[in-house]
Amino acid sequence: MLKLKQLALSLLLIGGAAQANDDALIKKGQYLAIASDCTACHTTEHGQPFAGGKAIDSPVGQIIATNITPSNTAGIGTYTEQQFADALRKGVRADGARLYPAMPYTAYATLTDEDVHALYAYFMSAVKPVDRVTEQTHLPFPLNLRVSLFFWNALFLKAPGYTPDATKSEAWNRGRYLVDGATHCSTCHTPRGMLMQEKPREAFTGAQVGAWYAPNITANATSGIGEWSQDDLVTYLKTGRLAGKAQAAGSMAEAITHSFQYLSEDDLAAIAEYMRSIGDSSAPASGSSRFQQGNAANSTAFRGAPLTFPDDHAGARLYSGNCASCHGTLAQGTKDAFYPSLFHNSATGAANPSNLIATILFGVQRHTAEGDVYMPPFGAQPSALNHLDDRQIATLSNWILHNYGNADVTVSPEQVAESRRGGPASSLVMFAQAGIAAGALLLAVLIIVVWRRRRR
Amino acid sequence: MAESSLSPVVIVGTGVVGVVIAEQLLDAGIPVLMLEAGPRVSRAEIVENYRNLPLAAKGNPIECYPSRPWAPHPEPAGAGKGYLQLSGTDSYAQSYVRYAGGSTWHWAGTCWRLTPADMQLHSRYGVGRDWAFDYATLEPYYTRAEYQLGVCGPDDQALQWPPQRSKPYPMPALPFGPGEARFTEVVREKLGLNNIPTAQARNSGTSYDDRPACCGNNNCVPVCPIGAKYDGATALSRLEARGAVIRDNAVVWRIETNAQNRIEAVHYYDPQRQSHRVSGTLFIIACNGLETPKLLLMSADGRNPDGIANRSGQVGRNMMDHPQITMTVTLEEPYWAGVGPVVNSGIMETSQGDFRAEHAGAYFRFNNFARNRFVTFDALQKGLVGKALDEEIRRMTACTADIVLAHEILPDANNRLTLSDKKDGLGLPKPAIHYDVGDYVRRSLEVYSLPIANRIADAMGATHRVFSKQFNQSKHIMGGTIMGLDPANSVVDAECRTHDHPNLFLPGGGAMASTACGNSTLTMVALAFKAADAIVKQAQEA
Amino acid sequence: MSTSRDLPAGHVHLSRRQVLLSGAAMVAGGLVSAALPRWAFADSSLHFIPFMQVSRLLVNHELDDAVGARMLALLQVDDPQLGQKLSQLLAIARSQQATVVEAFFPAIPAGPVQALAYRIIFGWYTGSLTATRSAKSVAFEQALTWRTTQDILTIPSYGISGPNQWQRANVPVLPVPQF
Repeated sequence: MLKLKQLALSLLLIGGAAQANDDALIKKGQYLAIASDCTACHTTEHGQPFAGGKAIDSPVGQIIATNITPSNTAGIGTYTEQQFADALRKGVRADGARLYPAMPYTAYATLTDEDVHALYAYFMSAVKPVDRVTEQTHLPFPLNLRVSLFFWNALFLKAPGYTPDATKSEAWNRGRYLVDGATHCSTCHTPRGMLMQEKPREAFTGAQVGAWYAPNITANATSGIGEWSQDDLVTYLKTGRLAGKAQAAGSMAEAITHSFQYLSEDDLAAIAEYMRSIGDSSAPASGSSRFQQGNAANSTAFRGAPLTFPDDHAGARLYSGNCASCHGTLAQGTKDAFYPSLFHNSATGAANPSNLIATILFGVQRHTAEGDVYMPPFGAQPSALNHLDDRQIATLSNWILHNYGNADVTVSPEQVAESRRGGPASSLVMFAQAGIAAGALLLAVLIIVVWRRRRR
Repeated sequence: MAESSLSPVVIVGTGVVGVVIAEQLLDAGIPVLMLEAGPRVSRAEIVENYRNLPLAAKGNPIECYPSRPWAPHPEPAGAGKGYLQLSGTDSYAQSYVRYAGGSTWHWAGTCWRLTPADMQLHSRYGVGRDWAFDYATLEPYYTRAEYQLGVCGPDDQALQWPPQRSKPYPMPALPFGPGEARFTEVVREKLGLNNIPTAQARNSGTSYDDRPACCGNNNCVPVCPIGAKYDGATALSRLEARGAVIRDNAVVWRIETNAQNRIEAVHYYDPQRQSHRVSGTLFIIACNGLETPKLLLMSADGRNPDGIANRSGQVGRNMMDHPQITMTVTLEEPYWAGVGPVVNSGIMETSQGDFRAEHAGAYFRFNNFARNRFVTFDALQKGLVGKALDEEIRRMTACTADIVLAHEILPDANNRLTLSDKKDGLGLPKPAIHYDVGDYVRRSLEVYSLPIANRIADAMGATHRVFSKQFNQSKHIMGGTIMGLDPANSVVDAECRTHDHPNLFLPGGGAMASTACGNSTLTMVALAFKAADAIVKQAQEA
Repeated sequence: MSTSRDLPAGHVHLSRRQVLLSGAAMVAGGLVSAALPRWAFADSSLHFIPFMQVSRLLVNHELDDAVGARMLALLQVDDPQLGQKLSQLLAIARSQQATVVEAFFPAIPAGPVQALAYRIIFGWYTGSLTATRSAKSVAFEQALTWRTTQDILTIPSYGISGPNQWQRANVPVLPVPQF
């Protein structure tokens, strides 16, 4: 909320002499910037808006988001509109270097020329320039060679702009325009291939995002959110939660906090309409969804029972001491559902336990008009309410899963350790390096063979 | 963390005073070594200790914190049983927690400030002592204390205590439960008294300082299960992340002076009774208002035959607390204490007035603990069964309440802590305390606080009322290392630096020159900030 | 979990002491039906079924078998006559054709049998057998005292609502909520 106020203030500062038309254009640009959630990457926790410097954890290393304030020395102050558009939609900087697709230019490529124009007006005139240069990104060889992205873009980047589907409603098209473009949902929710490209035939069927898992949000009733109504999805995007079903954490909580909660009712309805038309060709024919798992169950069977070694009730004790104070002794949450139940909850009902583990390790932070949602972390952080180790979190997770969630899922301490490290690493770097080594070896062999032939 | 050329400041005690000063020192780039007599424990362990207690034991907060044999604190059973050797007309059966994090583990979180008059009892009313400085001097430190702990309170000046504030409360007041709302109505309508929201260190409506917001667990005493109430334990990991070294299970038993009578080192026992010596240049003893004077007395040496910092003879004297009486009322209408935090409001205006020349002031608070554990045994005693039993438990839970009368007390040199000849698990002397609340307090009960309490009971429509048979302890230990400008009759100066040893500081409740009626923690933390400023300056000049 | 579970195979090998003291492990979390396999409880099984029958007659609310097993274990420690007293209570209830406590309690003669009846009621309401600090606790969250006020009060240590959302009207004393 504070950032919005800062943006509004910046707007006021320069708006005085602007024409009414310019005002409207800048406002439109600001709205699009919110919808695109530029701030999520380009503003650090206590930093100036859009001044960059935030390190984004990717499976191939840390990528530092740049300063996109209109600073002439440290930001995009010298960018023409074409250069701005190219950065946004083609992933090319003004100096010609390629951006890493952590910047979701593959999605922003959908943006129309008019919307890019509005964004440009907003960034150039309504954002306060900050003359602080950000650190450079240093990915391991060969990914530090940005030129490699030329080939990647050639394979996977589409042409800029959006072509409506005339057979669908205006709202559906607006929804697709936003989802494919500004709100870039597929960049998290669509699984990626070996070269880290989105797999279009599996669109929105779920993907790992660091320690978290962006779940299947197709309209399939078993694998996705098919059982949600239009209003359910709008509620979720506005508030970050849906009682008895799901709540947002990790990057999605950020997206709700900074972006979705500010979208208009019409836009949210449009997004919902589009999303409810997306199928999942690989979903099972039947079965229960991740929202239907588990039941209320007493967690205190160990009261009055002496400690045994090993402790039969280790999971229950961990739950009771660390979780039940907010989530209830039956995991039922509070009566007003502000603290959610842990059964009928996608975080525990999903087949992939990443979100359960990550929630315990990192907590939940969301801020919406409803209020401040804060679950403390239980990892190694100084602010952790309790420092739980990998084995404890695995024991606790398994107890929660088997009593309140998907009883078929089991968590190992190794999985928890990997989550602590930021999630599974990509083997892309290793393969790329191996590939180059192999190529270099082949070249060396060729040179030797040719040289020896010449000698004869 | 970068190597500092400064030697670490040694802090004995990891309670709220110690951790607040530690953070100020680290902010100034000064390294810190903290020695804690007791263990490091997890919040989950304490919460489960509470839940596993039988219902009859849940009323004593110390039951969740069993002493370790080498660091006993007063408790009904275990290593700390019979720890305090008490004598005198009134009991000084204090309790506190010798664990890392200190007694804020179980405090209620109440954060009243002193008023200007509270600090000038002698010049205004001819009783007690004046503080070494006035409210205006202490006020900015109160503000820092409130922002450090995360104190919530009302914006409306008419509800603030006192209304003289330079900055608003960090968070707005918590909502009243139905009991407090009704109590507030009744005392205002019928008695013209203001039951105001308690200023309290509890996160109100929002997370603060990376700790969650209060969600009404009604368990503040004995432990906040989620850390929404500030307690010293929440600071420990953060201090370590910034380079502080915290040694737990380290019982300091001796303060060592050198030929210049400066403090040279402290000695501590580990649980195996091996002694370790820690030398340093600056020392802070903040291990609670009872253990601190005890340690000073134990450390008597050739240069200081009556104890460290005790040339005045005042160490261990002037032991103070807020003598309290509990009035339990039975009502005809439901009040439903138990919704929200356990102490959420109080009548403070009755602590002020010219009558303080004659007798103590008093503060009245509606205790907001859920009443089930107070009434269920009585209901069962009535021989009821079935529906009648259910109804009676419910009726008594809803229609009974505790109102606490908390009095101020004057410093009396005869209210004194000395070393008894009994020994604890480490062979260290158990403390002996002689205590008499004094006529100043007894007269208040007779002519002031009891009549008001009765009027409150009448206003509430009480059909039955019962009072404690004797003054009980509020667990606010004050006065044992009293502050003053004159080294002949005080132990520490305005910075909580001992008069006798320029590199020894004793911030905390022991330094308080007057008690007023409100809980002492916020004032202790304000003194901690004031001392910290002086300590930082002294460390940097050295 | 509302259905009884098959006991895991390993538990057959628990020692009698472990079974006695850890009865809860056997019926963890569940509302196990009264038809519990007798071998699961060693010799405390003799009294478990009548004990729960008596409990449900004396306390006309949903009772947890696991809590009952722990309470029974404590009662048995100092009462060799327990079985007989339970039988007597059942007989009195049967003679009054009682399904609720009010229908047969007045018929219980003063003395050890009535004392046991009061003790059992005490146990279910408080989660312990005596009002002393050294009592053994068999339940906390499931102690019935909390149920009588569950509409308005939280069980201490458990959150009641979202932050600052606990304002509510003074609900009347009657009716007692259903439980």
